Amino acid sequence: MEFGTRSKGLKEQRSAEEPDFKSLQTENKVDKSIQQKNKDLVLKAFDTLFNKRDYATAETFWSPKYVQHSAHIEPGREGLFNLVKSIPATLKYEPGLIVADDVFVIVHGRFSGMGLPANWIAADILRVENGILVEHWDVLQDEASEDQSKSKAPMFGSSFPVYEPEKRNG
Amino acid sequence: MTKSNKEIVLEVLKRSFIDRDPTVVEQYFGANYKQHNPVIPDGPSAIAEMIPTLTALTYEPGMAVADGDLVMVHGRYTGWGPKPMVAVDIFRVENGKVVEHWDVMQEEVSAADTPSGNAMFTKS
Repeated sequence: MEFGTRSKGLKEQRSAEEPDFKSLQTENKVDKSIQQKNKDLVLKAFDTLFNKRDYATAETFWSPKYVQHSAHIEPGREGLFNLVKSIPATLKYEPGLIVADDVFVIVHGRFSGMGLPANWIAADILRVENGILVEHWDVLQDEASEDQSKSKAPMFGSSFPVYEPEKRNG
Repeated sequence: MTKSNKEIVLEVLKRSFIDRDPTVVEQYFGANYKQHNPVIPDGPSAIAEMIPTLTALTYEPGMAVADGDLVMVHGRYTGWGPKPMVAVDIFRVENGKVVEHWDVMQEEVSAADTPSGNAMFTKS
């Protein structure tokens, strides 16, 4: 299985895999066009806010009534945007596996460049209403290096992170 | 009737972590089951060996989203670590069996202690 490590790569890969649209409509209860729209919305919104830091455009993706469930983020859209403003400019968000139905999107991702000892692997859950993000839950965990992994398969994507102390130790 | 991928994954989670029934592995885990969780060894036999040891564990599923060959489930594991853990489990399903698994786990912070005052997890 291939993993998109950047939003653009993932979208290209998914669209290349997209089977015949009409057969999907008859085979599945969930409307595939809404499913795809919801995934595209989350990928574009996250890239706009976390990577491009274009707050004005991001406001078009996030509801002013955004409901936050994350353990560490201040409430509302402003709470999230203020958090991003406080993180070093080296912050990078990479989306990975993503699923959607007609209401919810869950995306596996990695936050790096935060100035912390380890990257964060994230599962972000978004509720979409009228084409914008209205509610969010997440789970965050430090990304294990190869030495730290018993399964010897990366938590995210196709390769392990190499952290600075490991490089120095050799 | 053939089970949907979502039904298969919810049954896998229930039988593994609520019923603690190791026969679920033979029935629903592919021989090529690939583990990405960093604290569990690779392969289906590691799960079969682990299940009987999880005597203190309880699991509660939350929302589940299925899309193509993937199913993601929000859940809470109590008794996995010192504090309850909120998780998203990601399974890839192939021919009616789970063949690949990723997860993200974080210690639960109670609603009273989150900055928003909202709960990290609501069970389904």
